[in-house]
Amino acid sequence: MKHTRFSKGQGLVEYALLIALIVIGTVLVLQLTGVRLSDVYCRAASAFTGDDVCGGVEYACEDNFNAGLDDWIKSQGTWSSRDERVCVSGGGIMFNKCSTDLNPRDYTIYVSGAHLTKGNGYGVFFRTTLTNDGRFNGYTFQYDPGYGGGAFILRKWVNGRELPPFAVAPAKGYDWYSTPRNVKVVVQGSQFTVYVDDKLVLKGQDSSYTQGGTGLRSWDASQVCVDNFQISVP
Amino acid sequence: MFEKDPSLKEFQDGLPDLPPAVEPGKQRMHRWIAILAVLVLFLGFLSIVNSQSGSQLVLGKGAVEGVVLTSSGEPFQGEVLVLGSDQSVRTNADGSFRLENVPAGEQSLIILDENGGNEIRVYISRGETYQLGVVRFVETAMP
Repeated sequence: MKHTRFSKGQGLVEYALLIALIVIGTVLVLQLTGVRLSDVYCRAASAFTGDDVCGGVEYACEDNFNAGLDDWIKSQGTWSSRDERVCVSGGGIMFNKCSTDLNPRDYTIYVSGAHLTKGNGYGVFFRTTLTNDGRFNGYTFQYDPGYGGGAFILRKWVNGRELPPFAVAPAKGYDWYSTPRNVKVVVQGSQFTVYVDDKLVLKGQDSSYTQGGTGLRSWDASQVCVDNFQISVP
Repeated sequence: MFEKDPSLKEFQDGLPDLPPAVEPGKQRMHRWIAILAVLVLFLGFLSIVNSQSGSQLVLGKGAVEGVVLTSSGEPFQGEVLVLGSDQSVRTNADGSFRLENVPAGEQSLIILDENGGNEIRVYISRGETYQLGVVRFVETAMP
């Protein structure tokens, strides 16, 4: 069969151009919606193979506090590791070195056996970045019996100073002190979801900070101990 | 050497009909390519505007000024900054401030004292000064 330049059908260049435009368009849409290509690949590969290609829940950072506090940057307060727990009396702030170095975007924090026995509460830092002058930016979830008669709240921090909460779930009458709690903070895009003992307690939204490490805080005359601290990165 | 050249026999009935310029199938393909190209350009533009450096490039910069008072009405002494930028200034003795080179678009203006801060959403237009007016700083409750 003789082909001339007037033959019917599309040229290779046209098909290549079409495919290239579709690929570029798809990448741009994913970029704009905040979806990472690696996540899409993970999900697609997992669906095809039936295995968990993405690795599932593997703890990127973990501390059960049986070997001191070498993996923490103590910023304020007196934190001590004893009986495989970390405890603080009074105000304190410390940052998890592993997650600070990792500087992840989306992750889930598991704080196990967090027991507040006295005072106004404790908090979990997330998406926190430390600045060269010792300040920091980020967010905290706060288990906060001292806020408005008791509440779960989310705060933003700028240059080491806290802003008024951007999400509040009042919880007057909640049993704040008698039982150790398991706190889970899910950090996904601009959405933050908090569970206490597997029960959803608070949802919040903010897009100021897109990545950063984790930490713990307490304030006023609080006394709190934590058994285990883990971070899973998808 | 010249065997593929047209012979006079091919033109004995006059010039042959011209082939159609573009066949319908090709026209459809070209239309799709054009639509996709426009879409990709639009998405690319959105992507640039969405990034911080890109938005500054496209949207430009403006300024914001205002006066901050404490909750008791005294001139506020502290720091005013735009979140996510390096624009920061200390308030003057009368509580006034002016921030230049603020990226255009919706921004978070942060007012900080030694213990806490307040956040105000402002919309900065290119080449213009946003007038914040007089705002009261709400102090963070301390024990």
